[in-house]
Amino acid sequence: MNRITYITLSILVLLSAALLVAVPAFAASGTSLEGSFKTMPAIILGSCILLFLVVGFMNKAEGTADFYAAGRSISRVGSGMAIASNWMSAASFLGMAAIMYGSGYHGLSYVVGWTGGYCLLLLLMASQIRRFGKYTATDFIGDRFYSSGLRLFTAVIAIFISFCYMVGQFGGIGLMFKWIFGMNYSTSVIIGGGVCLAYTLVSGMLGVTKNQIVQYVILITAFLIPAFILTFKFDYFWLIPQLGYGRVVSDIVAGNATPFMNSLGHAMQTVPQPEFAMPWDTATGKDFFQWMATCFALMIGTAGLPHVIQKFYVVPKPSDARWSVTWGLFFICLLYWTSPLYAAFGRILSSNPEVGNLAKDAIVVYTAQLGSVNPLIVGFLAAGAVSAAFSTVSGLLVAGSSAFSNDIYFKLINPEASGDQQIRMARIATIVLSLGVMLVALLKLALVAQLVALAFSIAGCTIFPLFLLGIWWSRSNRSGGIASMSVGAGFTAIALIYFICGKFGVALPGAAAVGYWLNPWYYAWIAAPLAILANIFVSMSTEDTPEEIRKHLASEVHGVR
Amino acid sequence: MDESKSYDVNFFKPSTPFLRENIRVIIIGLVIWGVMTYGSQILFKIMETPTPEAPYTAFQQIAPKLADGSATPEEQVTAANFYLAALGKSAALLKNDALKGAFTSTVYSLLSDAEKKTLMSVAETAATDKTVNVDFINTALGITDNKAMMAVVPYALAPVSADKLAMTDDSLKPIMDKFFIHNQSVFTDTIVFGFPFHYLYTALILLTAFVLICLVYCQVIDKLMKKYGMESSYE
Repeated sequence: MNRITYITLSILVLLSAALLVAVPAFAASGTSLEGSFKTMPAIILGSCILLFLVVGFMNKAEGTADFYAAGRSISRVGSGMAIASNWMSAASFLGMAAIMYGSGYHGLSYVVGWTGGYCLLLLLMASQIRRFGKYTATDFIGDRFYSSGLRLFTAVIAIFISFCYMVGQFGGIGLMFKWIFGMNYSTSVIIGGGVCLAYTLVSGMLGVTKNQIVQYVILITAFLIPAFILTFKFDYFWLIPQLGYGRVVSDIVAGNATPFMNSLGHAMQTVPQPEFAMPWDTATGKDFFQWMATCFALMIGTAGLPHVIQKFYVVPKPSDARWSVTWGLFFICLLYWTSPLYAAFGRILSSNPEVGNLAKDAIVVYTAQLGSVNPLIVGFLAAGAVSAAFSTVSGLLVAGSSAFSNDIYFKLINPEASGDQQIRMARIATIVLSLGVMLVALLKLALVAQLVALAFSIAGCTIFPLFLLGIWWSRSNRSGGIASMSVGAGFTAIALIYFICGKFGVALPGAAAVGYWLNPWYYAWIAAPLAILANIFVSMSTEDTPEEIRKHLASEVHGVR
Repeated sequence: MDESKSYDVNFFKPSTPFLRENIRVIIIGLVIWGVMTYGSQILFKIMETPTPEAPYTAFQQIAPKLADGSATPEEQVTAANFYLAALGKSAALLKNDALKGAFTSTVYSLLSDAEKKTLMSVAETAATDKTVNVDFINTALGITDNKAMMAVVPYALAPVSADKLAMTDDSLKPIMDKFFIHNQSVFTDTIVFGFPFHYLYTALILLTAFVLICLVYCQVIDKLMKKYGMESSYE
C-alpha cells in the first residue's frame, strides 16, 4: 500500500512539475476548441496508462483466489475508493454534465439515481449478499433459484449489460481520443478501443483493486482541479466550488451580466434561460414522469448491476461490505457534487452563437477550455476521462469474458476444459466483445449517459428483482425466478426493438406510446415491479423452495438459528 | 411449529428478534430515503405553477397590435427584444425562419428609411458573414449594454423582402409557450447560496443525505450485529 501511495504521489508530482515547466509554451494555444494533435495531453494520457500498468504488475495476482481476494488486505476506505473507481465511468465523468448541459434539471435525475441507488443496495442487499457467500451475481441467482437454465440466462444478461455499458464507454473514449489526437470520431473509437483492449489483455488479472485506488485518485484530482480554477478565476466562491457554482446557475436563469470573457473573447453571459434550472421544463422536452421514472430505474439498476454487486465478495467481512459502500458512495459523491458545475459553466461560457453546437459528451473538456483553464490541466482532465472509461471497461471486459468462459463455456459447452483452455476462451471472448462494442459505438446511437442508462434498466428489471426476492422471501422459487426473468427480458426486448427500429426509420405500431412509456433509458420503472409481481404470483402457485436453500438463506444470511 | 416452517424468511413477517429489529431499521431508512428523493419532487410538482417569463407576458399584450399594425415604436422595441431573447435561447431556435423573419421585420419597422436599406443588405450579408456591423440595430433596440443579446443579432437576421413583412407569425405561439413558460414555485424562487433552492436540494442536499443515511445505517447495524452476536464468525 505504501509503495503504491509513494509511486502515485511521485507521478503526480512529476506531472505537476511538467505542467509548470510547459506552461509558457502552451499558454497561447487555448484559442480553438478542437484542432490538431495535442502533445502534452497525449503525454499525460500515456503516463497515466503506464502508471496503471506499473501498479498492476507490482501487485500481480497469483491465480483466481488471489484475484478475487485482492481486497482482503485493503482498508474500508481503500475498498471504497475501488468501488468508486470501478463505478465511475465515462458516463459519470462526461455524460452527466452532458445531460444537464442539454436538458437542465432533467439531468439531475441521473445524478440522484446513480447515487441514491447505493442506499437501496446497502439497506437491502450488501451485507446479505456477502453473507450468502457467492462470488458472482450469476452464481447467486443460479444457486438461490437452483436452476442452471436461470444461471445461463443470467450470464447472458450479465454479458449483455456489460456490452451496453461498454458501448457508452467506447463513445466517451472515442470523443476524448478525438480531442487529444485530432482525429475524426470513427478513427478515434477504433484506435481508442484498440488501446483499451490491449490494456485489458495486458493487465487482465493484475492487481485490480489496488489499481482502482490509483485510478480513483487520478480521476478525481483531474475532475476537481478545473472546478477550483473555474470558480476562482470567475470570482465565485472557490473554496467549495460545489457551492460556489450556485451563483452561476442564478446568472444563467436571470441572464445576469458578468465582467468576464471566455477563451474565445465572448462575454460570459447568456440571455435569460430559466429552462436550465427549472424542474421538468417544457423547453427540455422532458416531463415530471420521465424525471421520476429515470431516477427510479437508475436506482434499482444500480442495486442490480452485476459488476457492482460483485464488489462485495472481495471484502473480508459483511461489516466491511457495508462500510465500503458508504465510503464508496462518499467518493462517488465527490464527483457527482461537482458534475453540475461543469454543465453550468459550460452553459454560460458557450452561450455565444459563434461557439456553435458542441459535442455535448465532451462538454466537460470544452468548458475547461472555454474558461481559459491552462491547456495542460485540460489535458489532464481529458486523460482523467479516458482513465475513468478504461478502468470501467477493463473491469467489464474481465467480468463479461469470465462469465462467458466460466458460466457458459466451462459449465455448459465443455466441462472437461483445462485451465489453459478456459483462459484462451476468456481472451477470445474479450476480443470478440470489444470488437462488437466498437462496431455499435460507431453507430453513435445516443448520448453516453443514455447508453449506460440502458444497461441500468436491463439490470434493474432482470437481476434486481431476483436479488430482492431471493434475499428477502424464501418462498420465491425456481418457477417464480424464471417468470420474473422472462418478464424483465420481455420488456427489455420490446424497448430495444422499438428503439432500434426507430433509429433505422422502421415504423412500428404504437411507437410513440412505447417510446414514451417504455423508453430504453427508463422502462425498468414498470418492468421491475411487474417482474416482482410475476415472481410472487408464480411462486405462490408452485411448490415451495427446497429446504436446504431455505435453511441456508435463513441461517447464513439472516441469522435464524 | 413444524421444523420446515422455521426456515421461512419474509420481509414483512420477520421470525426472529434480530430480523424484526434489522427490518425495522431498513424500513425506517427506506422511508427516509424515499420521502427525501421522491417526496421532494412530488412536492415541487404539487406546488408549481406554470409561470411565463416577464418579457413573454409583455409580448402577449403587444402581439395583436403587431398584427394589425397599431403597435407603438416602444412596443415594437419590446417585441424585437423578446424575439431576440428567444433566438438566443437555443441553437434550434436560431434555425427557425419564422422567428428570424418576425425579428427582422420588427427591427425593420423601427428604423429610419436610410437604415432600412442598410438592414436589407446587412441581413443578406449576415447569412454568410457574422462579423457584419450591426451596431445600428443594437442602438435601435437599446441593448448596447447587453453583450449576450448583441451576440445573437447577426445570427437572428433573415433576409426579408419589403412586401412580405410580418411582425408576428401564428406558428410561433407553441414555440414561445414551450420556451418561455416555466414551472416555478416558492422552491424555485427562493435563492440559497446563489442556487434556486430546489436545484440546491436535488444536486447537493439530497446527495449528502444519501451519504448520511448510509453512514447512520452502518453504525446502527454494526451495533445490532454485536447485540445479537451475528457475523461473529467473520471476526
